[in-house]
Amino acid sequence: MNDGRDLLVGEKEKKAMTQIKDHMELVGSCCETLKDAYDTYIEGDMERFEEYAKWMREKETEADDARRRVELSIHSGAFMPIYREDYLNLAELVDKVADNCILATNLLSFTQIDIPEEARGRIAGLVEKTIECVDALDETISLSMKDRKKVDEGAHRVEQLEEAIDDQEYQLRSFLYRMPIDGYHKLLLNDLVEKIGSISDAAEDASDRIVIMLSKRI
Amino acid sequence: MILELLVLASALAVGFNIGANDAANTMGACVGGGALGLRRAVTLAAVFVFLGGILGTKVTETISEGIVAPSELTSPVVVVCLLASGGLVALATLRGLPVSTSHAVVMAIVGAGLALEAKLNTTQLFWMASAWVIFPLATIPLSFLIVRTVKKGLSRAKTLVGFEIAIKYLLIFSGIYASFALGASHAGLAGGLLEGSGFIGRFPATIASSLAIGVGVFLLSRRVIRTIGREITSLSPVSALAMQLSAAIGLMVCSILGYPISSSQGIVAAAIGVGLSEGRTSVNRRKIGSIVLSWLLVPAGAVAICFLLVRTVIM
Repeated sequence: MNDGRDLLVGEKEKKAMTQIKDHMELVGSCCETLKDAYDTYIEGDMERFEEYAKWMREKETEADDARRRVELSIHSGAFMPIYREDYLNLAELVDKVADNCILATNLLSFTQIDIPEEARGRIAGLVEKTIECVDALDETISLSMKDRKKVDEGAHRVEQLEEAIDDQEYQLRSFLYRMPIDGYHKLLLNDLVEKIGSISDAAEDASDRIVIMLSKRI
Repeated sequence: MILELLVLASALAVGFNIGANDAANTMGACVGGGALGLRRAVTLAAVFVFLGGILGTKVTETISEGIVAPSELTSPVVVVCLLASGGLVALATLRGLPVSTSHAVVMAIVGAGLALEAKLNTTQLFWMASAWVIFPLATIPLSFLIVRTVKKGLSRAKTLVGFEIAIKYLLIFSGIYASFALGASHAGLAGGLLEGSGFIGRFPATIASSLAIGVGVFLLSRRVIRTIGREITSLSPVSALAMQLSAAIGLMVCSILGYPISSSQGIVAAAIGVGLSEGRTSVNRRKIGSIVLSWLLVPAGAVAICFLLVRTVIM
């Protein structure tokens, strides 16, 4: 509805940035639930796990809708034409974080793979670190709306967490391949670890995009 | 009476043409940068061009009495000057060449003066020609400085949105200022000749030509603004702002001094300054060469055509 606020310079941009923040919050809440879903899964409560998985898929769908609202705002004239693609790319990269989260959950849901006792704690640690990384991305996006001078710090934190996750992922995969389980089981477990690792990869890509956006503006 | 109407119609046509073509230099960056929609940009430009025109009368004074004595500018002479200069500029515009209406009008008067063997104010012409050279040369370092200053100022923007809002406001301010400067600089071209013809006073002449430019902006400038806006979109907003603002400052300074100068020359010179600020040292020599050639050919053509027409038709 046109209430006249679009006559003021900057109103479209403020609205679009609020929508970007809302989108990130939905993505964040989807990813945060991954820990509860995983804990429930390894406890063996499949009914509750499926409830969590369903909730996450709903959040991911809401995030997709939020991303479309961001795109609509941008195509309706928010931001200068030369910079619009930056915001569209950022929204896509943030959305990928939630998408990768759902892929990991779906793998558990479809395969109902048995996670060996020795690997459970390590995978739980990987999930926790991943959620920390997504929170750091959320913080970086907030900083771009509050104090751009601190964005580098936020992006650096995301980068550090992603590197730590990469190390953990490497060691975990190495551990899983050495386990005395059949080859197909190993492949599935490694696929699960890879999918969890891809969540932080997407978060780092999004965080790097914000840094590039800021450096382009001066 | 018919002659007076012809003078008025020719003057209004030249003013209309100026508005239709030169408004792109004032609002192109605003529209291309997304700071304003086309409709709002055109409306603002029309209003401020008109205000600049009625408040800036020094150029009117120069044109009406600063080149030849007002008694030489009879209605037939004025019609010839307006049609010759306006026609040449329209022809050049059709070929896509950014030529100067100011230079064409001034040299048309010179051509008419030579044909009438009237006394030309060579001192005034000397300073005017100097302004035509100094203005683009001065615009190069000015645009360089503006880019650096604006970038430094914008680096203080705390947020992404803050940066975008700041640059949009700067573009709007710059567009308004450039429109005002265009009016102040160019309303006198037609207004001065209208006044010189003797049948209308300075203020009504200024109002008429300012109104003609404003109407030209409002009715016919959209396509040109959109075209320039699209070209400017490939530049950074800071570069587009610097180009527009530096050319406008030069226009304003010269209009205060009473010297009509070219807005398109200013934009081309400013583009060189902006390029230098971004480390680009090479220029498209062929393009610059063709632009310089058109800048020389149109005034020379105006002198020649006016001289011939006054000699053959009027004398």
